[in-house]
Amino acid sequence: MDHLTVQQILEYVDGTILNGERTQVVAHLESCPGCRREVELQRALAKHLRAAPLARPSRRLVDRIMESVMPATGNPFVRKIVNNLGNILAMIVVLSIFVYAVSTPSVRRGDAAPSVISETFKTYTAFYDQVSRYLTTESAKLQSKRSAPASRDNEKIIALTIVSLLALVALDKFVIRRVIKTR
Amino acid sequence: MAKPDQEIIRRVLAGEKKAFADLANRHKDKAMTLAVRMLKNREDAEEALQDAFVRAFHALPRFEWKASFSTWFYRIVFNVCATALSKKDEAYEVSLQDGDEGGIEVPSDDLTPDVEYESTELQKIVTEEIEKMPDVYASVLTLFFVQEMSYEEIEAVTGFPLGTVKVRLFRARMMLRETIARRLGWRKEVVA
Repeated sequence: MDHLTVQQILEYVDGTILNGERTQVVAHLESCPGCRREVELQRALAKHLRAAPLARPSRRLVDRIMESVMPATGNPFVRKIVNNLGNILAMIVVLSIFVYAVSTPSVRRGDAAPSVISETFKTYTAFYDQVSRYLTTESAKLQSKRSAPASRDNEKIIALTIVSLLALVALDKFVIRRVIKTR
Repeated sequence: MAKPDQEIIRRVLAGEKKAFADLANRHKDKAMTLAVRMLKNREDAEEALQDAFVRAFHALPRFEWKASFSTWFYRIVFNVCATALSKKDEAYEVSLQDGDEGGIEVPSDDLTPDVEYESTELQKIVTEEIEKMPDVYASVLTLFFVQEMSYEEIEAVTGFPLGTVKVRLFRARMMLRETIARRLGWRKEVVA
């Protein structure tokens, strides 16, 4: 018994078979279980091919495309500053503390009433002292002659400074930059 | 009534460049599917897709309104992917005897399935096997079944002659069928 060609079966499944040929194919299928099975199988494969999940690009793709096709306008120098506003603010804060501490005699002498800024400056100096002592101790494997345990106040201030710096970085990353992006 | 794609294109060409994002959102998943199946790598595919969209944006003023946007755009995607493949020193053209059409094959010594055709297992295997398929076959198969293009549209997208499109589509389907039969352990049986 002659069977249908695979080509005929695929054209029948796709609905692209010519009308005259279609009648012959239908007549053959009525009497041939083998070809009917092949038709069912090809129908199933076609269905699964259509239903196969699509590959989805990352969420940022369209943003990147739009950034490419709509380049930002305006002065590039100004944009650079605006984009780095968070870092610039952080640098200004640190430099201000440093300049204030160095340029204020009462702070240098240590007889001024403690303020937030002077406390922060002390924190920095204490922190760097500690780091330097630790490195000296560890690298030379010598007993530290001058290492005094940091006072509990100093520890608190160090912790506070680190937390403040982290908060500043977080502010830059999650607030300032997002505000800039949305603009 | 104008097609949605064409309405968006009109807006973009009228100066509303942001509308291009709508066009990208409409086509990104299907285009990504074509790119992944050709390049076999998500990162390369996404890079190719971004390149294709940017090229399409700049070429939009030259878009011919008589053609559908999808045919025009997928031709760009296809060309970008083919170029990426050639840059990777992978011969885009696989060895094919295109004249050896399978139209005269007869399912005499055939494979009979023991499994449920509707099974999710079969769906999973089909998906996996398309991704492994050589790019020339995977591309025509994707354009035919995912983008639902006709042979003529596939010819326009790929630049393959119509006969080659038909042969490659046929071979891709046969290849898929045989691989699935092997994986599912369908028994060989002479069709009565």
